[in-house]
Amino acid sequence: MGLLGVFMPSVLDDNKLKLLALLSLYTKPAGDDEYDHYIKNYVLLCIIYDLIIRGVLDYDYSSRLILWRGAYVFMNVSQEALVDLDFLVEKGLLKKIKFSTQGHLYVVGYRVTETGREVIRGYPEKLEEVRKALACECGEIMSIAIEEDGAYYVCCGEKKKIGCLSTEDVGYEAEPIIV
Amino acid sequence: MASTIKDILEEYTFLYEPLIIISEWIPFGPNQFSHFCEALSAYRRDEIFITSEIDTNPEAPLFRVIPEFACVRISDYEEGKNVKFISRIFYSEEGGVVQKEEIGVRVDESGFIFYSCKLRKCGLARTKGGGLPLSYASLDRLARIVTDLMEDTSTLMHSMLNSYQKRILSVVYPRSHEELYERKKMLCMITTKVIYKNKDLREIVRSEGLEKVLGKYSDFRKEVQQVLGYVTGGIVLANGDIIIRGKDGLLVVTDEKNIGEYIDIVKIIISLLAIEAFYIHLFSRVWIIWDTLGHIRSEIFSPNSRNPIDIYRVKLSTILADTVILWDVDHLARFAMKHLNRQIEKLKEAIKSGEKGNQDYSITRAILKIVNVDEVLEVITSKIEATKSVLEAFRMDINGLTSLINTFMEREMREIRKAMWKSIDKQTRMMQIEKAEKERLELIEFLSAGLLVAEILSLLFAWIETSFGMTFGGWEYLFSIIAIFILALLLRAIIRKISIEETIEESQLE
Repeated sequence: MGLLGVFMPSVLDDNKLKLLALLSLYTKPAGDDEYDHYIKNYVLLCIIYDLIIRGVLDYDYSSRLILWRGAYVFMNVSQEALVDLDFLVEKGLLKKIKFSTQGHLYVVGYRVTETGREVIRGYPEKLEEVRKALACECGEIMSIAIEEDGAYYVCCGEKKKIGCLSTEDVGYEAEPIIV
Repeated sequence: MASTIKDILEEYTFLYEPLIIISEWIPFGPNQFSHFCEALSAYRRDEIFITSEIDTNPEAPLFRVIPEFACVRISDYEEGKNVKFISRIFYSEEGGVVQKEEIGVRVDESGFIFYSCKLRKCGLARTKGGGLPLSYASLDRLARIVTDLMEDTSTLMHSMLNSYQKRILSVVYPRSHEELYERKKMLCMITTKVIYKNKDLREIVRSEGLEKVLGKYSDFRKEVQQVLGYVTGGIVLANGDIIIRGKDGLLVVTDEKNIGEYIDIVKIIISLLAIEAFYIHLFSRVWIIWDTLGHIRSEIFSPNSRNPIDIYRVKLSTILADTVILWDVDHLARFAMKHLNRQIEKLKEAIKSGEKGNQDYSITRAILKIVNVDEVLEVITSKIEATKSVLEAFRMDINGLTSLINTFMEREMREIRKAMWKSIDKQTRMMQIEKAEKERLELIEFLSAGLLVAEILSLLFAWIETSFGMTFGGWEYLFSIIAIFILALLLRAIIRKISIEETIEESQLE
């Protein structure tokens, strides 16, 4: 925040701006339809993973156990992105909500705030870059479908898999120790 | 030692030959433990290959197996206490990645399981920077190795657990037996050296303090969270050892000589975390049961319910099966808690006797001071007790609902029976009316036939009168009436006789 309590967008690096752009494409505060639109954290993390792989976002990721449709799966999660999301929440550009699943476990949701929307309007090139990465050939932003075997981009009646649930292997040598 | 990592990693934190301990609690108890040891042939103390595949074709002479199995070498077995073995895992990995995966496994009769290994070499990945020897594993790569170990240890245990235990796990962790899906396990990593941004972590902590190193936006925190989950705190012991606590485990930085002491105390702490995690998930299943019961109750009482009532009886039976299996976990959990309590008491006694002797136990004392194990033990025990009483209440609730459904079904049956009697009565009456109607029609037909005969007779009388001049003085009318009735009765008698004969013939034929 600046001296007068006004948010200074200069503290936002490239990744944070792109995250904000991403959230502004998929979420919105209550407007005409009376509802706040939040994106579930695991859906958001799927898109973030895809954008990392495609070089749009510059984060690291690793597999973590997360709740996926009420059961646990390993998913490629970027801790750096999660910390940046918390930063944006702290600065009032995003809002975070926690809600219960039918299985009585909890999922977090994120949405952009009015301030966040105003800030990202000042960076049309970032918004355009993220929009381009998430747009279908028809020009619309692809929606996300969560299925048992992973997440999919869906548009124009076609589905494209996001490989966020495929864990990566590293070669290693381990010596057994019995404790 | 390649990798399949797609990203170019930015690695800041490296652990020197970390000791990885993964722990989980699976309901065991004496009977399951005996069965488990039997499956391993633990008494032979030799090597055996184990697969999770089941022989569903006992009459076939050959058994085909996908070449994914674990090799288990028993190293120690104490009947009624624990079994220790080394497992070499031969599950296929992607992209030609070579993994020399040997894990030490300790299974206690109480159900606490520890999978542990020391990471000697870690494969390279595409990185920005780096340059440390292979004995240093970056947290980025370690996160992937831990994932691999968690997945493979689940597959390993799946080959050895009995169907009863698998059923419990599938209720508590839905779909955990399927590919892709997992269950919650706790992790502890012990290392003698951590390099963070090319500096020794201990030096950084000495100069900057652990609080700053674990700062909200620090790169160290971000990387640790990849492995331990959300970092909840950390402490620096008097001897300079660092302990970092994450939501899913611990990271310990200590000297080689202290590792043994850490293992003993850490085993107790991660056991507590493991059984707590199990109960958190078990309780979430309890809520699901509660929701389902509420839903069934409102459906039963709803006048708009379209489902047949017996569907609810089937649903209740499934819920009861889940409730019973969760309820059954209770005595196994108590058994495990007793075991943990004994371990803690032993440790306390060791500290006391160590104080008299040469052994210091300063680390154990410090950790016990930070983590109030007695309090944690009490909290978990009360959770177990509360869960049991809730499940007992559910059983009563399910029984109540089942009797209610039975009452509804009986009432429905009574109403059906009543409706049936009513319908039979109606049908009988309709048949009687039909019969009377038929007779009436017959009579009209016969009378019509008689009238026809009378008409013929009157024509005959008219002809005789006209042709022969014979008169009957009005007696011909009486004669015609009598003829009508006689003929009608005669016709009726003949038709009845014919129809009776036909009925007899038909019944004889039948």
